[in-house]
Amino acid sequence: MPAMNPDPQTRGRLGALFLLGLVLFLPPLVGLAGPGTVLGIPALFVAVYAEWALVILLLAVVLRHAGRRRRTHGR
Amino acid sequence: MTSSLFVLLPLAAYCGLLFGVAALAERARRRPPPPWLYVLSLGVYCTSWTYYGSVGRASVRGIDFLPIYLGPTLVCVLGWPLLAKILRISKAHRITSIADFIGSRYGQSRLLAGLVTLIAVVGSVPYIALQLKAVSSSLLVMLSPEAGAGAESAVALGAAVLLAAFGVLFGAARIDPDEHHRGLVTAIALESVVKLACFAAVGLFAGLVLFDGFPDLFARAAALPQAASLTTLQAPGAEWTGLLLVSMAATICLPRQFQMLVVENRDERHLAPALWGFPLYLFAINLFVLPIAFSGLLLLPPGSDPDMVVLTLPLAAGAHWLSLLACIGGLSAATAMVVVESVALSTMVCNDLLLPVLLRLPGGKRADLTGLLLGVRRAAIIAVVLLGFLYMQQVGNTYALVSIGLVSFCAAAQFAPAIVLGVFWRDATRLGALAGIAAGFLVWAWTLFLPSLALSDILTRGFLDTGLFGWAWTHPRALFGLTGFDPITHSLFWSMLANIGLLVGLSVLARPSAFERAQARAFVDVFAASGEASAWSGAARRADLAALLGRFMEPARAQARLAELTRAAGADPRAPQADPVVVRGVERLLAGMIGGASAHVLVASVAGERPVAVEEVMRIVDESSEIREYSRQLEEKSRQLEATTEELRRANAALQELDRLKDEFVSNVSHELRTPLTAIRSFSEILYEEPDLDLEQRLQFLAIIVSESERLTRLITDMLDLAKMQAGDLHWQFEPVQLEAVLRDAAAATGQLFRDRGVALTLQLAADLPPVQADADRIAQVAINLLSNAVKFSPAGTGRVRLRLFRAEGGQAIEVVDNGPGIPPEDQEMIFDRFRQAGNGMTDKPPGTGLGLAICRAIAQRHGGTLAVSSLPGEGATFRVTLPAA
Repeated sequence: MPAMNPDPQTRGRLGALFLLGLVLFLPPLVGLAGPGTVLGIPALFVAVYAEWALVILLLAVVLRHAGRRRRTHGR
Repeated sequence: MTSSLFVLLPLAAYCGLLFGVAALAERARRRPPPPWLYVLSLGVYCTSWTYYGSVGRASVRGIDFLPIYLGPTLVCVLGWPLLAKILRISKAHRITSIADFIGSRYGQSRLLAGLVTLIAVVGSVPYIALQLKAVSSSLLVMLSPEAGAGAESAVALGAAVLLAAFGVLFGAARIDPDEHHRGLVTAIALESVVKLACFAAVGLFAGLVLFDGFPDLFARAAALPQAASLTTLQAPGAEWTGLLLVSMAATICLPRQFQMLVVENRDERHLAPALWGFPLYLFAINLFVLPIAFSGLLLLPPGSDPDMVVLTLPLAAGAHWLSLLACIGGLSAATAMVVVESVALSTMVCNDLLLPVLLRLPGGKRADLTGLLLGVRRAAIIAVVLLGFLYMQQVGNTYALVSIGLVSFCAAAQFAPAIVLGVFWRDATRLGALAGIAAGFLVWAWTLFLPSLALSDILTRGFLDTGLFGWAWTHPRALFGLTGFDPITHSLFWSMLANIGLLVGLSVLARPSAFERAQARAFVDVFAASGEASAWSGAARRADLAALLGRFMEPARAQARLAELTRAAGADPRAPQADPVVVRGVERLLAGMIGGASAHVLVASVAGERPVAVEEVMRIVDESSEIREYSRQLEEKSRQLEATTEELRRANAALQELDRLKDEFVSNVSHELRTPLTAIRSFSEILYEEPDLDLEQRLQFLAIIVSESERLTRLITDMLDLAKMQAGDLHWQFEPVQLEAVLRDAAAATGQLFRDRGVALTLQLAADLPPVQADADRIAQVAINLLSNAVKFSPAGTGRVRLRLFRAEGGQAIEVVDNGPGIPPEDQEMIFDRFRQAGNGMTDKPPGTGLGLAICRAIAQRHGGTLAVSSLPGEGATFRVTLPAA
């Protein structure tokens, strides 16, 4: 099942996303959102959860895209 | 507070439901599972720690609980390169546990696998204790909050028994060659759904029922005295980073994560959806941690246990049904963890610790081992859970849930370097892995595990204050004087430094055995390799193999499997000796049940020889054949070079010859031009200087000048003709020509020459020949040229020249035959060169330009014909032109 070995482009995208996640999830960026609220919820919480959701969303997009391309190439 | 029945009956019903679902799923185990089952089963990552502990930690330190869930997300991002590779390797080598994986990677080392097992068990004990503590605390909260420590112990023991029973029933019901527990996976997936739903229910209850929406909740929380600190980042950068890294390692290295992620994976394609589905699950369950924690801070009386807010919040609000639901969710979280962890650990203890020893005992190689295996596994499950119970009893009350769990995380993280480097770095060696893991484990034990025992007064506290033997640098919380870090980060730093340092250092220092290198290659190059790491060189009898398999499965099934393997290998099923491929297949089959190291020992006992690493042999063969191929190509190249050189040498020689000819030609031309010019000039000078020369002499001189000028003109015309002909510039007019007429004209044109010299010309021209495709003027030129030559070389008075035309092979031939002195054989080809005339250069130079024959031959060739001469000295010469038929 060679399909399990990702193509170079997907590899590159995942690598870039990993670095993005590292930057977003590690200090100093992760604690940057200061006091105050967004829609009534503390800004820190909103920021961290939003960053997290962003990384998961991008990951899902990259994986689905890779999966689709693999299927079309496979035929 | 609540009726015991109200609590216990639904819990018992829920357990019944789990068993029922598991049993149903077990029946459907032959069908391929849906991908979401795998994704949900990974939710086993979220235990009581998440369910109860995160809320407790968030109540005290705000968002600090979160790095533990961000780490797995990052691992999932890297999942394809890393996890896909681990999965493929594990499938190829029938890996049954993380100890099996590490042991197999490093030369199927039983020592290493045993060490990993030991660390996994010791490291997991606090984690299991955490679950027991959570379950017993939650049950106490539900049943009788006022009960003392004794009651908690009793409840915890009950919980331990229940969880151990779960483990035995789900994980060690029978021995399966595929090591897939479909029922277990299904039950865990169901529990993942239940705990998420229950937790979300409590979160929504807090936000929407207890408060007027989440903004309202947080707005009120802003008035809390600790609000400011809870809504900013509490952990220092190092601690946050340490938590993130340790959780990344734990995502793969926790025994239960490895079990679910790798061992229980049925289809590699399920990994892709899991890579984003698993982080999404973590995201969803963590969404409600902060609202629940803040609600607890606002509504519960000060001093209540922050770890139990999930239960006490709905209880305090009088929503008993919801607290029961929350309790069920918590039970799901705890049971899932304990069951999977104990199954994973028991597999390791059985396959990698006990079995290799048991197999060495006398008699260990004879008996039917199925029963023994099951017994060992069940005992191991019970022992692991009991160890957890003991730890919980002694240590449980000293720490919050999250702190206990982190101790386990740090232990599991010790496997990460050996796994990650082992998968990507071919040169990582067994010695390095062994030393690295052992050192990391010792540092972990010294800086985290032993202090946790000491703080609970199991060990003397002395070393906590003064270090070992009073040496300050051995202080467990400030090793080598390193201070300013929390205990987790401190321990993680030192243990990882020792671990990675030794792994890398020893790997680059020592060269491993060929077998170990082959194993490493099989792991690192798994996507390229065949997956068959080694074959057995020794001969094993089929009967022995069948007997061996028969000890782990029914004899009939063993026979069937063996026949299957033989068929697949294309071997002769009646041969008493088994094919090496079949022996390897049996080893893999056994590895699926009892782990690689043990299977190796067993098969070795039958096959009698240590395996030859095929990859290693192949590599050597590859290398030498590569070299052979290179040298073959080199030889080829040098042969080609030689040929090219020879060609070049020939071309060069031809060029030099051409160059010489050109020089000769130029010198000839200038010579030929100078001769008439000299004559013209000298006679002109005489005429010019001696005006009173008599008329007769003047006329004589002028005649010479005219004749020499004509010769010069002829020479230049001939040269231009020849040059044009050779350059292909000359205009040719090909048309059907009757040669007879052309030749008669030529004979007439040269008639005066013959008469002047007294040479007889005879024409023998065939009249009935068809016309040929030719340029009439050029053919006439050839005939005139040859006739003039013939006259020149025929003796005056007695000369006889014949001009013939006749049908020849492939066309028509013109012949000019004279009775002159003839041409010596060595000159016969030369006379066709430019400026070459028979005879000795200057002395008896015959008249003519020396270009005539060259031009004639060029014309003949342009017609597709030939011009040749045949002659015997003294008997005349025959020039023959052949022209092809039209």
